[in-house]
Amino acid sequence: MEQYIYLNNAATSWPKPPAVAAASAQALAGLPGAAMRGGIEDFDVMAAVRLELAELFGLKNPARLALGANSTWALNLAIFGLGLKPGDTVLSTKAEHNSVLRPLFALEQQGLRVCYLDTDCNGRIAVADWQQALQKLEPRLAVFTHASNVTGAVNDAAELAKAAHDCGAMTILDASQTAGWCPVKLEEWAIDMAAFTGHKYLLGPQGTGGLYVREGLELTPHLLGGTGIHSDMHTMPPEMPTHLEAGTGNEPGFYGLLAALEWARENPVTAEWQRVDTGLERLKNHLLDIGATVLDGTVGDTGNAVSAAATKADGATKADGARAAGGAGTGAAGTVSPPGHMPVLSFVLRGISPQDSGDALRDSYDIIVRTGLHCAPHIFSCLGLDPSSGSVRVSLSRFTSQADIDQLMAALSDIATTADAF
Amino acid sequence: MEFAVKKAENCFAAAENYEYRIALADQDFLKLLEDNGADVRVNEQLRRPTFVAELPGGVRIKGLLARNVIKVGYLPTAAATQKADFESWLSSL
Repeated sequence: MEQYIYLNNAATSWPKPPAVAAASAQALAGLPGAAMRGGIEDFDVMAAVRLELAELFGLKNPARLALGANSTWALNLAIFGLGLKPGDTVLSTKAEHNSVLRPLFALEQQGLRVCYLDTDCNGRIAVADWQQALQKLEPRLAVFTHASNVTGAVNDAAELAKAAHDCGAMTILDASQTAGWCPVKLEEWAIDMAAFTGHKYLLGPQGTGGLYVREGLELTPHLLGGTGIHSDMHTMPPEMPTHLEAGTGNEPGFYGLLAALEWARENPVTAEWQRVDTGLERLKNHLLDIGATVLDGTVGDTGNAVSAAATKADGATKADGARAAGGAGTGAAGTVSPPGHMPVLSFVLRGISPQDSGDALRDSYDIIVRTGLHCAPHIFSCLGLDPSSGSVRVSLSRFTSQADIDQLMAALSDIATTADAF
Repeated sequence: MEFAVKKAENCFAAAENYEYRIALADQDFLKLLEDNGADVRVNEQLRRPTFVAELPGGVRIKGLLARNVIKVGYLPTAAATQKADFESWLSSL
C-alpha cells in the first residue's frame, strides 16, 4: 500500500492520536452506555466530553454544550432555533462554509434579509467593515467563522462579537476550523452560540461535534425525539443539554473524542505552533518561488504582534512588501502566543488548474490535498481568484513533518515545470 | 470493451467529471484516443507519468500511464450528450 502524505486536515484530521481508535473500538466492544440506564456508578462519556470541552472553551457550565454529529448539525440547530422571522436581518460574511450559507439561503427564501460581508484579500473579516455593516443593518443575528477554511486567516472573534452586541445582535461563532488549534474562549468573548466539530483539529472521530448556547438563551429544537428522560412529555425537556439532544448519540465516537481531548491536554498544541508554522512558511516561500499565487492567513495577521517579530516574514514580503506576517512565536517572557492564522494555505499554480494540480499530487506522488471551492464558494470573489476553478488547499497538522513538506515542495516543482503537459 | 463508471466527487463549480475503469493497457488506449481524433499529451517528468487527451468537442480524458483508471471531464453545457457518446465509443472498442 502507498504511504500517503495527508495534508487535508482542515477537512478531516489524520492521523489521530492512537488512543482515539482504541477508545472507539473499546466502546463498540463493550456494553452501551444506556445499558444500566445511566446510574451514578456508570461512566457517562458524554458528561466527560462536556467537562473537557468546557475547560477548553472556558465555560463554567458544561451543560450549555449540546453534543451531536458535527458543526453542520450545530449550525442548523442554532440558525433555525432562534425563531427568526420574515423581515429580520442577518449579517454574515463571504468566508462562510455552506453549513452556514445554505441554512441562511433557506431563511432568505422565507423572507429574511441576509447580508454577506466581503472579507479582505486574505480572507479575514475587517473589524471596521463589520462594525459599519452592523450599524447600517441593525441585524438581529450575526454569524461568522472564526477562521477561513480557504486561507486560514483567523478572525478577531472577541472584537467581532463585541461589535455585534453593541448593535443589539446575537452571535453565532463557527469554530469548526479553530477548535483544537487556536484558543476559543466563548464566555470571555461573550459569544451567544458556537458550533464546533470533533473531526478536525480536535483530532476526534468523524460524527462528533456540538453546539454551545450561552446561559439564558433557549433555542427551539427542530430535531425532536427520545431523550431517555421525561418520556411522558409531548415536547423536548427544557433543560440543557437534553433540550437539543434528541435520539441516541454517537457514543463510540465520543469515546474517541474524549481520548483525543485527554491526549491534547497532555500534549498541548502550543508546543507545536512554531514548528508547524515553520513548515507553512517554507511551503509558502517555495510556492512563491515557483510562481504560484498563494493565499494565506499569515498575511495581514496582526493579532499577534509579539510573535510576528519571531517569525520569518520573507514569504509575505515577497507576496506584498507592504504587509506583515504574523505567526506563533515566543515572546520576551518565553510565553507562546497564539497564531492569527491556521496551518492552512491555498494556491494556484501558473498555467495548471487546481484540479489537475491536486490530481497530479495524489496520483503521481501520493500526496493528498483538497481542491475546489472548499464548500466556501463566496470567498473567492474577495480573494481575486476565479470562483469557477477554486484553489488547491494544503492544511497541515501537528503530525505533519518537515520531510512531508520537503516531498510536497519537490512534487510541486515537478508539476510546475511541466505545465505544458497538463 | 466493458467498463465501470462512477461520478467523481469534488468541490468544483458545475463539475461533470467521471472515473472509468477500463480493460485496456495504457499505450493501446492512447493509440485508440489518437485514432478518435484526440490531442494526446504525455508527461513523463512526474514520478508516475500521466497523460491528458482532448477530444474534438472538449471532452478531456486524463490518467496515469500505468493504470487502467481514467478521469473524464465533460462540458457542463453538453455533459449528457458527451457522456453518452463517449461511453458508446468505449463500448465499441
